Amino acid sequence: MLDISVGSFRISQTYLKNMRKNDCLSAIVNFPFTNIKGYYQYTPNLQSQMENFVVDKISEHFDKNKVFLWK
Amino acid sequence: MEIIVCALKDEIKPLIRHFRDRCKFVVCGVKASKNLDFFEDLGPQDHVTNIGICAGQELGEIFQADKISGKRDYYPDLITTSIKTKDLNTIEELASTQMVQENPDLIFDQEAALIFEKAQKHIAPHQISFLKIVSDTGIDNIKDFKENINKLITNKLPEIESFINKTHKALETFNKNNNAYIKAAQTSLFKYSTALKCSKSMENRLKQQLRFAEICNINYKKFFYELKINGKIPVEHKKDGIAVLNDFDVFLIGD
Repeated sequence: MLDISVGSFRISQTYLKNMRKNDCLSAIVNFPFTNIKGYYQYTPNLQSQMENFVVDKISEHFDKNKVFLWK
Repeated sequence: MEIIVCALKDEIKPLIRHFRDRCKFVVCGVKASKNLDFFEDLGPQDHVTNIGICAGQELGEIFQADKISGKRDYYPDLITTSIKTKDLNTIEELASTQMVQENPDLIFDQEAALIFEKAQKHIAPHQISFLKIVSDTGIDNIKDFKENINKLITNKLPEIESFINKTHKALETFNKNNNAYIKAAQTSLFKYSTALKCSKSMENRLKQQLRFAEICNINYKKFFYELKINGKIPVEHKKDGIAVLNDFDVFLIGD
């Protein structure tokens, strides 16, 4: 393994609209995401909390310098 | 109401004999060429099952399609039963023996993707299922076609009946929960959108937040009650309403 990329969930608003229509009882698709330029994603705070958590866990087994964050 | 869709008359005959009193039946023809306008009249309480024969390696076996490939891929919702799942490939011509031999993980038919394509404009993926019984291992091995279809489907009637029963129970529960959430969120939406001087887009956002709260069983009424006793709602200006919605997000997701 050469490197690892980490990024949190983001999705186009049209896709999420369809998903909410099709899976109206799912807590995951009904999560109050933030719409930034047409893409729903987690709030910046929550996003960095989640990513830091994952990076910390990975760093226990892998060189942290080779873990890349999608920004 | 359960609607059973088959491509051929011979496929539907044993099903009519068995389910006569409780289902509607549609023969859509090979390659789903006719009679599919009924989708327009379906409501949330209806469910469609496409039942038919297909080509594959496990002769006589029944499968529930979990991925249907045609012009593009489709994913109907799955119901957990004793019926195994398999990827289904919808092709224009009958599957060749070589095609079946080279793809042991696939089954082949000529309708499913076309039916799903038409259905998805009117119903949700949890309202349609595909059951396929393997009748042959490719075009070169088709014998006694008509008699064989009747026998194959009749043999699988207990599995089909159990599948349809389970599907209907799941659909009933889904609709019951969905209606309960809609009703609860609607009452709160009316109450709080006035207090927050919501515009249309703010109202949509609040609606989404309330739906999430209802699904996750979050006691959001406490949040609004505290705002009320602190004199923060009803708000005077729309911008104060937006601030409340932002705080409500934080409350909901604990950000």
